[in-house]
Amino acid sequence: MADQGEEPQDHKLVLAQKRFLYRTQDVTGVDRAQLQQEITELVHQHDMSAVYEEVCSELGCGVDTARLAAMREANAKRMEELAAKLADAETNAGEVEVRDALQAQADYLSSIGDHAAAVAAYAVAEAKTAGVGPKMDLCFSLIRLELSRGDYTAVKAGLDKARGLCDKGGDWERKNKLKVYEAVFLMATREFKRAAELLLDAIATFTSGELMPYERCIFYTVLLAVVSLDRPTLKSKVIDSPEVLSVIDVLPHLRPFLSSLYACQYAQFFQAFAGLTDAVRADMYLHPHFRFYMREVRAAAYAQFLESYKSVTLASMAATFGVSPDFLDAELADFIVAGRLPAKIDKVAGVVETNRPDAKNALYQAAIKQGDHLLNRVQKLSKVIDIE
Amino acid sequence: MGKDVAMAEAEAPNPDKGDQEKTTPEPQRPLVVLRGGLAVIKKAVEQKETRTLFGRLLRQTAGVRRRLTAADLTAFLNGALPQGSPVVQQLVDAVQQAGESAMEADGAANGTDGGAAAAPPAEEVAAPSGLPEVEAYCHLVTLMFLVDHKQWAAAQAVAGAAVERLSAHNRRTLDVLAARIYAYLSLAHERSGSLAAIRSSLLGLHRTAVLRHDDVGAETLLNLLLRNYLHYNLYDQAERLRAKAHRPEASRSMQQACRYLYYLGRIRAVQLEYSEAKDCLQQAARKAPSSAVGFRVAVAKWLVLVRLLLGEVPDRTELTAPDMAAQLAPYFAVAAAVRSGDLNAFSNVAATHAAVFRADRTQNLIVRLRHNVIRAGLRRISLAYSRISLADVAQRLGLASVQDTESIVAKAIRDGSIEGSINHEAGTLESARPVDVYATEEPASAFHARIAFCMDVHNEAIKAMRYGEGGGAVQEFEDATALRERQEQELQAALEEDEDF
Repeated sequence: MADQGEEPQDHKLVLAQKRFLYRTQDVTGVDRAQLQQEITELVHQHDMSAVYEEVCSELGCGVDTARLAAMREANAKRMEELAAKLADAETNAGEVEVRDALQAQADYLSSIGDHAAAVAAYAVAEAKTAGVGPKMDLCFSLIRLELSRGDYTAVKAGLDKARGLCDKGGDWERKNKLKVYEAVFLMATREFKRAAELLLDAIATFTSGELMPYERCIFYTVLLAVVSLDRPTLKSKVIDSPEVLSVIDVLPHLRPFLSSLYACQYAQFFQAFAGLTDAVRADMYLHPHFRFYMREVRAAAYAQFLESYKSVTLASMAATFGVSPDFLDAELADFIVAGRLPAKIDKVAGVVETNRPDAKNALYQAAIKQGDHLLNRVQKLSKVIDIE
Repeated sequence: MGKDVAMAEAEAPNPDKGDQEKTTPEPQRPLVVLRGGLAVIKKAVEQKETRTLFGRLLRQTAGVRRRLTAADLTAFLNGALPQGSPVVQQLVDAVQQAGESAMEADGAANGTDGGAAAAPPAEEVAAPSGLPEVEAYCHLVTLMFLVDHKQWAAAQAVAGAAVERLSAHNRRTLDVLAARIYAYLSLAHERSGSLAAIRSSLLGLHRTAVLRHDDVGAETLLNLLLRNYLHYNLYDQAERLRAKAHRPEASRSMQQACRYLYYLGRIRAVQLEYSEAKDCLQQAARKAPSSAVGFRVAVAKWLVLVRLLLGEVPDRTELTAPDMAAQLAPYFAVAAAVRSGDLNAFSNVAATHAAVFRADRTQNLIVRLRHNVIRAGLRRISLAYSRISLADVAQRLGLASVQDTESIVAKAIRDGSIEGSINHEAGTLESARPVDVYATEEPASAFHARIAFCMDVHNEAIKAMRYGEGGGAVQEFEDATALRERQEQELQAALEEDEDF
């Protein structure tokens, strides 16, 4: 499946994640000194002279001009080699070698982090590329570069282009890759439901190791599925899925998180969730959505709990979830007002009563509201007709 | 505020100017444009045309306004006005002074301009003309220049002199230019803080304008007067003037109409008539040209507050439109606090942004919002709780005494913002159980009203089709396709106007 011959993750993304960890304040358990060392090592290893200065200012350490010069030299030398290869290919070999040489150039430029040059080089390489598959590969490389810079507008543009190419005739492997890339983008823009669906489709034939390691993909899948899928789908697609089961024990807290929700063991669920919050905060895609995600998880848990009750005392509900009644009261009030929970709290008796929405009344209200909307527009149009 | 400047800017995106810039590879030199303006004026005076030609003139001027230099302007003034006219010296002096102080700032730009002007195309030097319109135009251009360089004292002097000379004439062709001059007069005084001084003269000018049926002038002056009163928070006097003043039926200028609606909205809001205020402000926002960002931001601020006071929550997208988001940020915070019903958050926001609100003169509206915050909080409580003790309510709302809470809750129930009842002995608030609406007659009557409306519209439409325009017979067949196309275009336009959806 994805265990053998998996590509290592693109070092730009590794670097981006490490830099993110370094500069974000509210992540626990981060060893900044260690990170600093790792980041500088990574930069040196790949001669990323273009981002060296930026990284140094972020890390707060001085620019080592000697290293910088050495890196630039290495860059220049490699570029020369590649240019020589290109010239050689143009004179001696055929189109395919020329294209390969161009791609090598573009890849090298993007690996050293030189954004502007890389974009231009990719455009040149694409012009020379025939065949949808290789074109899509170039597209993916560019998307990875943009992702590592956090430029999501460019990522969106890249995805649109890739999708267009795929429609023209992409093969299965590339289609799956596209799904994973799209899912990452959707996750970063808070569209958890669609991202979950795409990831579930893609994990069976996961080949995008350069984007993220396989375990990470499963991690995202489980997290997103819990908040967006309903129970039957969750059981069949995630809990019983062989791909998830094979990897789930690698990550701490993930198995209790998943199974205790399904088994309605809410106290354990909240504990596991508390353990996972650190992991969510430490992830560069999910960090901005941390509070939203927390809220969604809690809403899902409460909704599932209340489904089986007509009325339940606050005290016993609080005991089930392992929290204090006051905290629970505030949470429930918040969710009820937001319309996430169909219930009402009787504070005097300390009881939560659920009221299933009456379909007929709800339909009536909806019909009146939408009808009025429509009638407003009709009235505006009728003014035009009457004017004649 | 930047609205007067926005007025000129608003006219800039215009097909005329667009053509100008498309046909000439580099933008026309300001001097050429100004001299071209003189020809337009002469034509307008000959044809006794007061609207379109002057409109075009003003747009052209707005297009070159930014690039005008002191040297250009002096040359123009010397060329346009007859020598020996008392006006010329005054204007030229003012321009030179302003030009000097701006010279250091614009030094580089002027240099390059001068260089490019080394080989100008042959320009017709317009003969100096004694027309009062030309004089007014010169005054206007000078005023624009002075205002752009922020020479308020000089602008005041020039504007005052212009108004005096204008009062000697009673020519309709002067109206448009005169209205602009009044506007700059008011702007110059406002920036120097001496608005009260010109109030009486503005009133006199307004009276004269109305007597002479000078529509543009009357409209502009009324708006200037309203602005004058509102600047000093004299809402009563503003309202009295507005109610009594004669307004021409059709507005001559969209920008003046927008301004009028905005001032009217503000007056109504302060007078506690929020629904009317909301209508006026919404119309002002809709009619405002999209380039008048400053105006739209000001209208948006008042509109948000009025909607909050009416109890409706404004849409998030309105407050986060990209070009206005930064300035509307405090108001966004206020809206969020009111919606959450949290008194503490609201007091925090009001305290943090107090300076902004005072500068926008919306402070008293913010103070009135406290009541709305409590109402919003109560509504949230009655939604979430079927039964809750009044002590808990007091604690959540951040109110001190339970007695006060009880009376506030009672008033809210009576006003109909929450449904429920107070159980006084037990000291609890109980929400009403949701009633099955189908047990009442409400659905029947609601549906009946809407069906009746639809039938009416249907009948009207059929009548309109059957009887055609003016109640005549059915259209002839050859016209049918053209007629249908025209109708479809009108419908399309009506649908596109729908910005609400």
